Amino acid sequence: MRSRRLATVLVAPGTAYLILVFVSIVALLFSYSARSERTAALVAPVDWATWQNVLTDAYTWQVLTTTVLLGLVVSVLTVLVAYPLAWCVHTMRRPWQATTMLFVIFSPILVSVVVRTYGWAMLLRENGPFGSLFDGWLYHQPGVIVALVHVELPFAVFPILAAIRSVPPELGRAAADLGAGPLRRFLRVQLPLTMPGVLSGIQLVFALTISAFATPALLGGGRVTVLAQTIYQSIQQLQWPTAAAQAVLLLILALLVLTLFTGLARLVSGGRAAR
Amino acid sequence: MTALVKALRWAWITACAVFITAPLLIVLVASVSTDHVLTGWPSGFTLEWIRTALSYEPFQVGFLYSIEVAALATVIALALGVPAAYAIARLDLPGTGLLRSIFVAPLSLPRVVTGFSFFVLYVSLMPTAYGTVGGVALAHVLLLLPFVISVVGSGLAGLDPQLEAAARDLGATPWRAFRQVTLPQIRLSLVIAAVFGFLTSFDEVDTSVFLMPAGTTTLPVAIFLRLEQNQDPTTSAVSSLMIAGSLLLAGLTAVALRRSGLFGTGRNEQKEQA
Amino acid sequence: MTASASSIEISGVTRRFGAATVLHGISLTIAANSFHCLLGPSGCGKTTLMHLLAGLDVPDEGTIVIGGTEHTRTPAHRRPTNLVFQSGALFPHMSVRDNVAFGLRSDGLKGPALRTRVDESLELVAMGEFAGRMPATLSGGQRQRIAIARALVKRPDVLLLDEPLSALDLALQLHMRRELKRWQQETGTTFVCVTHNQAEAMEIADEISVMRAGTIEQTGSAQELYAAPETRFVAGFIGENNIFTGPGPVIDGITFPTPAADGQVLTLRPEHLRLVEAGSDDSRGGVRVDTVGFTGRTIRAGLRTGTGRELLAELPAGTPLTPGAEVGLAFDAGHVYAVPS
Repeated sequence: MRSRRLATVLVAPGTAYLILVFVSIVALLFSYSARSERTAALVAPVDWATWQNVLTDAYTWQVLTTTVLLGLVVSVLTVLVAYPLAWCVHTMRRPWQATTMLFVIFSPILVSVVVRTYGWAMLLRENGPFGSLFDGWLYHQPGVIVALVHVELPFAVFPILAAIRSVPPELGRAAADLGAGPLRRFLRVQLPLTMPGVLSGIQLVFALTISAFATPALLGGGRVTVLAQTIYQSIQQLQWPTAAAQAVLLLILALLVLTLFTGLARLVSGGRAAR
Repeated sequence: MTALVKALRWAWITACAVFITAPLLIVLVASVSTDHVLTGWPSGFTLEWIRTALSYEPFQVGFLYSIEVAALATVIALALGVPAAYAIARLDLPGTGLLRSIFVAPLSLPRVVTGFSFFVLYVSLMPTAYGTVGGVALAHVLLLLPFVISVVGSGLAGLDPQLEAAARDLGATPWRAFRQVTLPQIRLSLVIAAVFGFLTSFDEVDTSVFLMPAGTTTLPVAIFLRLEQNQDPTTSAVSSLMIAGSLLLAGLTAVALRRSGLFGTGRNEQKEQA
Repeated sequence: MTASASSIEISGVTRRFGAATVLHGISLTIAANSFHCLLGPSGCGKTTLMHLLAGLDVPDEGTIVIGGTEHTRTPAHRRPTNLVFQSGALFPHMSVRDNVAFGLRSDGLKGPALRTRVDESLELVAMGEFAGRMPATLSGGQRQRIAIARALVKRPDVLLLDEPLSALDLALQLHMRRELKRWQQETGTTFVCVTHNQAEAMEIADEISVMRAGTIEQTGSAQELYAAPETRFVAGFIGENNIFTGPGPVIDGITFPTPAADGQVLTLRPEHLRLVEAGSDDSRGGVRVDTVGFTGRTIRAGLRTGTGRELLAELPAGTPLTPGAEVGLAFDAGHVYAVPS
């Protein structure tokens, strides 16, 4: 059939690029992590010493814990900020207000993470514009968390806003008519119906946070180290096999998160279908 | 709505707006302040830092480098992504679901892992690609493709597939039907994909930092490397130039789209034309 | 009748999508300069057949000849047919004039000749003053007129219409039916129209093909289909009918003059039923009046037989009726029509 041949021609270059990249990424990452010497050779003798070192090093586990905890704290905080914000935008009466607010929320995405992180470094500095209010935040956990919430906020607002918009307004009115107070309306109608949006917001933020690099590198002050940074550090110390093993760990972590949330999302929507 | 709820709403919106804009505003203010370290409202204003930043060579080189990388990455991503999005949305193709997930898969790949993987790919297979515009752009394509596919794909999804059939029925060849009927209607998606893709590539750090030697880097990487050492008003100046540039590009695009009537699928604009 | 309007000959056309066969060896001849309707419920394959005629799809078996030339595999843009889509499918980014001019520009026409043709076509559908408007500013009926002008301007041998009126409200549909008929007569073009609305098909068509499950059940004029349905499906689909299944002569408590032959059912049109006093000589069985509805010219009465069967009767306005009344059912033997079940 003519249209199928055309479709194949159109889709082939992009698919070829992606498959080539995926395959070489997976193959190279594993090949590099299974050698102990730094060589640029495509194949090298298999040696599990690097994996052994990485997995038995307490530092690895400490970094992994920091990464996951940071992801949890940042994604929960971000959604706690984003949900009311999305609701506020949704209930704005005048279209230009909503458009302006959406632009404000969206604009940081257009600005490089490095620049935004630098802005936080200046805001949180001791003797900065806020005096001693944020003393002890910069180069410690709180500073990294605040900056990451700022960086990831738009990614949580948009799925939640989309979910809120998809709830028919009659449902709230029907619940009110049936005697439900504001809190009950929110907990029993609004929240369950917007849960898929909340979940995909959390998933996006969590995934972005565990792989964040520039913000923790610049604001962590060496005290807050996440997995992404260790890869960069290992490269700088010319320990390519270690970096490869750490990259594999990060990749596995990312895929685990993806699987976990896909399952959760299915659970949430499946529960609705069954009801 | 009760007065209390109303007040709380505005308080929350204001707090969020301040939270979102504060780190950008402080960079802008610091870049024109005479104070070396900003401790409050600036004691005076100067353009000196901006001038220094503009003449600082790593930034000049980095700016050109970034422009080249972003332009090339955007062109490649569009060339690979637009035909694929069209085929997936419109043509008779088996396994569309699988294809779609292949094209958005790079989103779940941590950017640092992408950067490191391209690094080992280049050192072991293509040593000449390391640190070149092409090499960096080819890695950025991976970040832009999912975006191109989803923006162009949703643009196509909003179109009535019968329009192309109608054009062919009226005697247009399939190519003319695409060019005169479909293309004008997805132009908005194409422009958005191109501008956003360009900015994403221009601003990228996590991937790029692995792909170039410290001497010659793209602009955001140059800023990153400089910030690792110290902070000074020159960094503020180049940062605020980047903020201004990005917002200006986005703003200009929005204005240009509005003027060309590309938002004109809405009823209002069409009534004006009538 | 002009000689240029060609007939269509469809022979043994089969179309499968995967495991599903949507058309089973359809054969049909459509006369030149006639208004032909493909009538059937949704999923009967009528739209698929239309796409095959338009060249938007290709049959797995069989041939399609249009105006004496085989066009089975000719792509849409090289066929002497044009299609009016159900949605109108107007190009939203082009003015009414550019929409109508699109097809002629495909043929390389330009300048004053193009303008004249476009204006003529817009005048035909009485939309001349809307030439500069954008489709989004038009009402549903106006858009459908433009869609028809856009197709007719190419002077096709055959104009195909896919449910052209189904998106319009009822009053507009009734008006547009007469318009369609008039345009067909004025242009002398063969019109082939797909519809699921039997009243529409009966009003506009010279000939109707009733389709079901990928086959054509019967082809004929509205009068022929109404008076002499060849299958039970046609009997039930064209106009309203009361259908009696069973050997007879007594079915559902109603005594018929002749029993149904094997494999046949008996049909009785609602307007052929009369109500008489229960137990009178004319009565062929007792029924109870369930519902009474006044439509203007007639009264539509829902009846129920002793066995619980529902029947519909259409009686002259003014017939005194009360719901719940027990009455006798009467009809002439000549109005009972037997069709294969």
